[in-house]
Amino acid sequence: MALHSSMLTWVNAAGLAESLYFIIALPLLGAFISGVFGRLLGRANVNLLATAAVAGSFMLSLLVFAAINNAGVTAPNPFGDAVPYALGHDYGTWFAAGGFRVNFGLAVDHLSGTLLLVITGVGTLIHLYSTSYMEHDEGYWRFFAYLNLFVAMMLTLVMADNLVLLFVGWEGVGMCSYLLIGFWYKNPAYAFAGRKAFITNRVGDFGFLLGSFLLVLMVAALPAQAPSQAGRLEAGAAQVGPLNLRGVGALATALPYSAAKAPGAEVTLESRVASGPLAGFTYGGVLTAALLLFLLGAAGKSAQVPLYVWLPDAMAGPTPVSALIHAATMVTAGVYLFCRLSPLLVLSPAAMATVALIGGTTALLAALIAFTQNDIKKVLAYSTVSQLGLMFLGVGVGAFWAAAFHLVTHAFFKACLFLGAGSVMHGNGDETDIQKLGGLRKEMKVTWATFAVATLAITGVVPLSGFFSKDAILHAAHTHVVPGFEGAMHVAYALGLLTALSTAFYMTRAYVLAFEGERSKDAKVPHAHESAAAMTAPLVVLAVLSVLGAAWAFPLLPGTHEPVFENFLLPVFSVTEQVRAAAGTVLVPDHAGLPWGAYVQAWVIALIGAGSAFFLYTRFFPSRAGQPLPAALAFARNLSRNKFYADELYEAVLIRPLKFVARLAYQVLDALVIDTVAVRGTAWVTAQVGSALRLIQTGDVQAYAAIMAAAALGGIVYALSRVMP
Amino acid sequence: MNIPSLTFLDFQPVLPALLLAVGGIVLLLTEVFQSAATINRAYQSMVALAFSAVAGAVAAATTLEPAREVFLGFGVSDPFSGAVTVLVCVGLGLSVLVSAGFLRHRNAERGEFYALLLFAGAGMSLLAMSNEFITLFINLEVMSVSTYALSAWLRRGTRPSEAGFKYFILGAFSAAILVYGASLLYGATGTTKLSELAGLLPAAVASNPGLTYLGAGLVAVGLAFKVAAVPFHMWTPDVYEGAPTPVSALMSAGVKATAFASLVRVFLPFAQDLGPNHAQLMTYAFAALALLTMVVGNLMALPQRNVKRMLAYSSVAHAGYLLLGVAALFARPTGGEGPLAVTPLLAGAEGAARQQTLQAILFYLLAYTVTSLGSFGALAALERREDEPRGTAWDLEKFAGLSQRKPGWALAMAAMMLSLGGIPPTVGFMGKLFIFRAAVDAGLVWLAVAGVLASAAGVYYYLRVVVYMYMRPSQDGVTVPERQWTTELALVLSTAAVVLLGVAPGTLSAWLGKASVLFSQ
Repeated sequence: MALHSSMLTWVNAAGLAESLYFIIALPLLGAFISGVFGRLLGRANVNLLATAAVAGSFMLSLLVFAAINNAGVTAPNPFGDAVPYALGHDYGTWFAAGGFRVNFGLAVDHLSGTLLLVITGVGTLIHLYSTSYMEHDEGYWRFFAYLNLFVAMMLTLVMADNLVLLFVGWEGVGMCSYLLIGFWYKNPAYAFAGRKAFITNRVGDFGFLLGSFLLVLMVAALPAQAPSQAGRLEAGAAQVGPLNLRGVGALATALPYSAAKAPGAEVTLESRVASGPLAGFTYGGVLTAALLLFLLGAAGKSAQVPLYVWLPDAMAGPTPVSALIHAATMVTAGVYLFCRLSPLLVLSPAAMATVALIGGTTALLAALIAFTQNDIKKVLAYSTVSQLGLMFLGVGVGAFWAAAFHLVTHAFFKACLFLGAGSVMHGNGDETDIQKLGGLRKEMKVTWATFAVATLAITGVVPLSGFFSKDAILHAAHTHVVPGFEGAMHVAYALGLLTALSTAFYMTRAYVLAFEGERSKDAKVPHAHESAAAMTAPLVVLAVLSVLGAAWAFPLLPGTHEPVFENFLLPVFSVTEQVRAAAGTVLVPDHAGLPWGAYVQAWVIALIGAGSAFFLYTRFFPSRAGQPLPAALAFARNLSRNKFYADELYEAVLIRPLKFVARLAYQVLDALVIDTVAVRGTAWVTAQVGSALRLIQTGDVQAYAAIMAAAALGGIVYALSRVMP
Repeated sequence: MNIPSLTFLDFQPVLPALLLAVGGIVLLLTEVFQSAATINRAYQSMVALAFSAVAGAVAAATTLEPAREVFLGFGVSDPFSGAVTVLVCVGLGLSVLVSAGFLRHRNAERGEFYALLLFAGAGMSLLAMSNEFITLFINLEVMSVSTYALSAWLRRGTRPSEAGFKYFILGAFSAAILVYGASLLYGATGTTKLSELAGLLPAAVASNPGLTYLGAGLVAVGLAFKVAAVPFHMWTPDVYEGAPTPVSALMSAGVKATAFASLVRVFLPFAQDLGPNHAQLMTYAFAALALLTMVVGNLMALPQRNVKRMLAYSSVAHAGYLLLGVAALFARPTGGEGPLAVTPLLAGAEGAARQQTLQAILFYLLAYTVTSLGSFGALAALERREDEPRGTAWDLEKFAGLSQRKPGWALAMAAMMLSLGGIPPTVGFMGKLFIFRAAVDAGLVWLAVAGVLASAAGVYYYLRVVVYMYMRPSQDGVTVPERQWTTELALVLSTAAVVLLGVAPGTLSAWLGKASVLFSQ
C-alpha cells in the first residue's frame, strides 16, 4: 500500500473523482458507435472499437483502484465523516419532487473498485474472445453494441452511489441480458428464453422498487420522531436524497436494535412509526419487509429460489454472453446489492435467516439438477445458480466479505469454464451434449488444461481459489451465531456442505464426459480442432487468475490476522460491523489463524465428490453400458433431469391462471371498454360533432355577419346583466 | 393650433415601420419603370426581404430599451412592442421568400404585391405600439386594407375575389364595431388614451357600468374578429382558402400576433380591482372565448380533407390557446368556489406571474409564426395552379407518398405538423407547455385541461397529414412539383427554427423574458 501511495502522488484525487463517469462513458460510446455505425465500419473496426472501449475502461479502473488504495483518498459523505479508501463525486440533483430528491452521484470504494476490475477485466477478455467466437455471425455489430452497453450498465450498477441510479444499472443489465439471450431471435425458443428472463426479472424488480419505497418512507418518518438520533440522516437526505447508499448506513446507525441494547434512545426497531403511511408498524417490521422485498429483487437478478428458472434457459444466448452476464457479472448483482444493504441486514436476524436458507436451498437444488444435465452449458448454468446460492448463504450468515470473495473467484473460474465450453462448441460443430463429446483432452490441449484448472477450482481442491472462497462461506456458516435463529443457520450450513459435495460430483462428471475417455461415436465432427489464440488466450488468463485468486484468502498482511480480502474490505463494511456489534445480532468468534480443521473437512468432501464421480464415469458406467439402472436411481435421475418439475409447477400454479386473467382483462377491459367504447367511441363522437359544426359554415357572408352580431349581443347582454345594479 | 414638439426620440421606435413603408414605396416606384421589353422582377422579392430583414434587425436592436410614451402618449415604445415587431418582420421575411416562388410560378409577381406586404407589415408594427384608440384604429386599417387587397391578389379565379370581398365586408363590419365601442368608452371615461384609461376606469365603472362594459365588449369583439376567435372566426376558412397561400401564412402569423398585442394592451387596464361586482369579468369573457375557440377550432378542423382549410381552422384553434394565455394574464386572485374561481398557485407575485404569462404568449406567438409560415410554405410549394376543380388543389391526396417524391419537403411538413400538434421536440410543444403552465399558475386549471384535451383532438388531423406523406403510396400521374430555392430556403429556416427552439428554448427565453415588459403608468 505504501508503494501505491508513493506512486500515485501525481494523480489528483478530486479530478479523478470528477472523471469517474468516463469509466461508464467509454463503453457507452462504444455501444453507440457500434450500434449506429457498426455496419458501415465493418467487422474488424467494430471488434477493435468494442474491445478497446472496455479495455480503456479497464485502464481507468486500474487507475481508480490504485488511487483508492491510498489512505489519504476519501469520498465525501453528507451523512457523516468522509469515507476513507474511496472516491466519490456528486454531479448534482438528478430529479426532485417536493421534499424527495435523487442526486446523480458515482462512488468507488474497495468493494465496487474490485468489481470494476472484474467487470472491465473479465469484460475485456470476453470481448477479445468474442471477436473470434462471433467471426462468422452477421450480427457482429449488434452483438458488440449490446455487449458494450451491458458493460456500461453493469458499471453504472456498481458505481452508483444511490439506489435509484443503481436501479438504472440494474434494469439496464436486465435489458441487455434480454437482448443478448434472444440474440438469435429468429429461433423462437431463444426469443422465448429472452422473454422468460425478462419477465422473471420484472417480478423481482417490483420487489426492489417496493423495498426502496419502504426505505424512503422510513427515512422520512424517522427524523420527525427522533430528531436527535436522526439529525445526520435528515441533513444528508436533504442534501443528496434518502436513497443514497451512505444513507443506508446512516439509517442503520440511527436505529438501535432494541430499548434494552440502547437505553435512552427515542426510537428503536421496536418502536412504532408515529406518522405517515407506515404509522402503526414497527420500524423493525418495516425494515424486515423492505429487506425481504429487496431479497425478491435480488432473487430475480441472481437466479435464486423461487425466481431461478430463467438462468438455465438464458444459455440460449451466445456463449461469451453466458460467461460475462450469466456467470461473472450481472447475476452477482443481487449479492452486491445485499453487501450494500448489509448495515440494515444485520439489524434483522429474520431477514438474514431467510437469505441464508434461500441461498442454501437454491445451492443444493441447482446442484442436484446439474447432476443429470447433458448440455454442457446447462450444467454450467445450474452450477452458477448453485454457486450464487452459496454467495447468498454467505450474505445470510453475515460473512459479507466471504460472499464478495466468492463472487470474485467465481467470476474467474466460471467465466473460464463458460469460455472453455464455448471453445469446445466452437471446435466440435456447436455440439453441446457432453455424451457426444469425450476425448477432447488430446485434441484441444489448451482448452482442456484451462477447463481442468477451473474445474478443480470450483470443485474446491487445495490450493485453488474456489476452495478458499467457498470455505470462507461455509466456515462462517458454521461459526457465526445468530441468536434466535441457530437452527436455521445449522440447516443452512448442512445445505452448504451438501452443495460442496454435489458440486464436486457434477463438475467432475461434466469434465470426465467431455474431456476424458474416448471420443464418442455420436460426435458431430470426427476430429475437434483447437480454437484460435484470441479464444485460448483469455482462457489461460482466467485459469491463472483462478489459481492466484487464492492469495487473497491468506492473512498475508503484517500485523493483522484476517485474510487479505477481508482486511481489504474492512473500510467498506466498517459501518456494518459497528451496527452488528451494537445490535448483537450476529456473534462472530475471534478467528485467529486459519481454520485448519474446516479446511481438511472441506477438502475431504471435495475429494469424495470428485473421486466418486471420476470412478463412476470412467470405470463404473462404461463397464455397465446397456444395463438398466436400479428403479430408485432411475427415479432420482428423472426427477433431476426434469429439474424437479419446477417449470411445470410454475406453469400450472402461476402462468395459466395469470394468462386466464390477462385474457379476460384483454377481452373485456381492453378490447371492449377501452378500444371500442373509449377510443373509437370518443373519436366517433368528436368527428360527428365536427361534421355537424361544418353545417354552420355556409359560405354566406350575411350569415357570418349575423352570427357575429348575435354572439356579440349575447355576450354583452350577459356581461351587462352581471354588472348593472 | 398647437404644434406638438416631436423629437428624434419619438421617431426612433417607429423606424422599423418607416423602413418597411420606404421599402414598399421603393417597390412601387421601380415597378413603374418596368417596360414590357426589359421586364425583370427578380430583384423585388430581394428588396422586400432586405427591407424586412433590416427592419427586424433595427427592431431587435432597440427592443430592450426602457418603455416610454412617444408621440404625446398616442403610442408607446416598450420591449413588448419591439418583440412583436421582430416577430412581424420574421413573418414578413419568410412570407416574402415563399411568395417569390409561388407568384413566379403563377406569373403573378408584381412590385405591388410586395409593397402591400410591406405596408401591411408597417401597419402591424405601428399597431403593436398604438396606445390610443384612434391611432389603434388607423393602424389596424392600414394593416387590414393591405391584407384585403392581398387576399384578392390572384384575381382571375372566383375564390380569390370572393375571399377578398368577404374579408373586406366582415372586416369593415368588425372595424365599425370596434370604433363604436371605443367611442362608448370615450363617452364613459372621457379619454381615448389607454394610459389614462386605467386611472379613469374605476370611477367610470362605478358611475356608469353599462356604458363602460358595452364599450369594452364591442372593442373586444372588434379585436376578436382579427384574432379569429370563435364565434367571430367565420371568415377565416373562406378567406384563408381563397387568399394566395403566402398571404394566408402572413394573416395567420403577423395579423394574429399584432391583434393579440393590441388585445393585451387594450384590456390590461381592465385587469385591476374594479369593485366586488366586476371582479374577473374580463377573465371570464376571455376564458369563455378561449374555451369556445379551442374546442370549436379543433373540432371543425377534424373532418377537413382540404389541407388549406384544415390549416385555417388550426389557426383558429391556436388563437384559442393564445386566448387562454390572455385570460391567464388578466386573472387576478379572488378565492372562492366555482368552476372559474381563480386561486392562483403563485400567490403574492402578481407582477412576476404576469410577466411570465406575457413571456409565454410571446413565445407562443413566435412558435406559431415560424410553424404556420413553414406549413403554409410547404403547402404553397406543393400546390398547383388554382384552375383545378374546387377543393382538390389542397386535398390530402396531394400529400400521399410525398416522402418518396420529396423527402425533404415531407420532413419539413412533418416537423410543422408535429409542432402544430404540440409534440416534442418541436417549438410548438414548448409553446403549449409555457401557455398551459401560465394558465395553471394563474389558477385556470380547468381551462388548461380543456385546452390539453382539445389539442389532443388536434393531433389527429395533424398526424393524418404525416400518415399520408409517409404511409400512403403516391397517386398515379402525380407530377413532382418543381423546386424553388426561395421556398426551400424558407422551409429550411422554419424547420430549423421549429426544431432548434423546441430542443433549446432557453436560447430565446432569456431575450423574451426581458422583452415581455409592457408600458404602464
